[in-house]
Amino acid sequence: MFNKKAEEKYLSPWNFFIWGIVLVIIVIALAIFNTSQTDVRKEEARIIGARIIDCIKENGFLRSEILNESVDLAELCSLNKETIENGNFYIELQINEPDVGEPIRPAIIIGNSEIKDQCEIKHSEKQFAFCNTQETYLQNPQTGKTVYVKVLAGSDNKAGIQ
Amino acid sequence: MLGETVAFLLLNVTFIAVIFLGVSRFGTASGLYEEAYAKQIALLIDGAKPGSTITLDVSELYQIAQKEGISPVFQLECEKNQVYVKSTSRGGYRYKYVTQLSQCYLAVDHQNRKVIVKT
Repeated sequence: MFNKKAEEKYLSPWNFFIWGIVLVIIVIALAIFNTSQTDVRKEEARIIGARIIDCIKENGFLRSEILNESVDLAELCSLNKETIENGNFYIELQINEPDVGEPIRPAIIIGNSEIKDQCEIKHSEKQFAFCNTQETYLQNPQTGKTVYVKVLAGSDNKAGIQ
Repeated sequence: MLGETVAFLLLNVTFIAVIFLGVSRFGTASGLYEEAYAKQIALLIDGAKPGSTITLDVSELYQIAQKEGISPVFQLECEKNQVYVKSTSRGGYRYKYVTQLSQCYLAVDHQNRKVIVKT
C-alpha cells in the first residue's frame, strides 16, 4: 500500500556503516593508549629536590662546604652539570635566616631559569614544566644557629628520545 | 541469493580480521613499556644514594620481546647520561638522568629477568 521496501539488501549498507564507526573508535582508542606518555616530571623534580636536601645535610647540620660561595653544588651532590644545564632541569638552593629571611649566602642556581618561570604559570597546559619545593631547617655549622633551607627543583624532561 | 549471503559472510570475516590485526599489532603497547621502564630506571638512579645497587624486575618487557623473537635491551649510555630500553626490532626509548654515576654499571639477569644498576 505504501510501496515500502524492507529487504536485507537495504539494511546491509547501514550495518557495515555502523561497524565502520565501531572500527574507527577502536583504532582511535588504541592510538590514544599507545601514544599516551608516562609523564614523570613532577616525580622527577621531587626526587631531585629531595636528593639536594639529603646531600647538603650532615647529622642535622648544614655541610660547611655549602657556605663557601665558590662551591659547585652539582659536583658536591654527584649530579651531571651538563645534563642539568642542557635546558631540561632547574635547581635553586636558598639558605636564609629563619626569622628575618635574610640569605646567609647567595642562592645557588643551576640549569634553565625558564623552567622556574613555567612553574609559576598555572598548570593548565601539560607542556609546562613541573617544579617541586623542598624545605627544611638545619644548623649552621659555623654559628650553631638554625637556618632555613629551601630547594626548588624543576623538570621539563619529557622528550624521550627514540 | 547465495551470492549475497557469501558476500555478506566474507565482509563479516574481513571486518573481524581487520579488528584482530589492529589489536594484535597495537595492543602490545611495547612502546609504552619501553618508555615506562626507561623512565623508571632513570628515576631510580636519580633517587638512589651513591654506592647503591638497584634491582628491577623487567619480566613484563621480556614477554613483549619474546613475541618479537628477541631479547630486550637495557643499556646505560653514560657519556650521554641516558638509559636505553628496547623490546622490539624498532627504535627503543632513551631517557636522561641527572646523576653523575661513579661507575657505568648495568647488568641484565636474563634468567631471573632483572636489571641491576650500580650507582
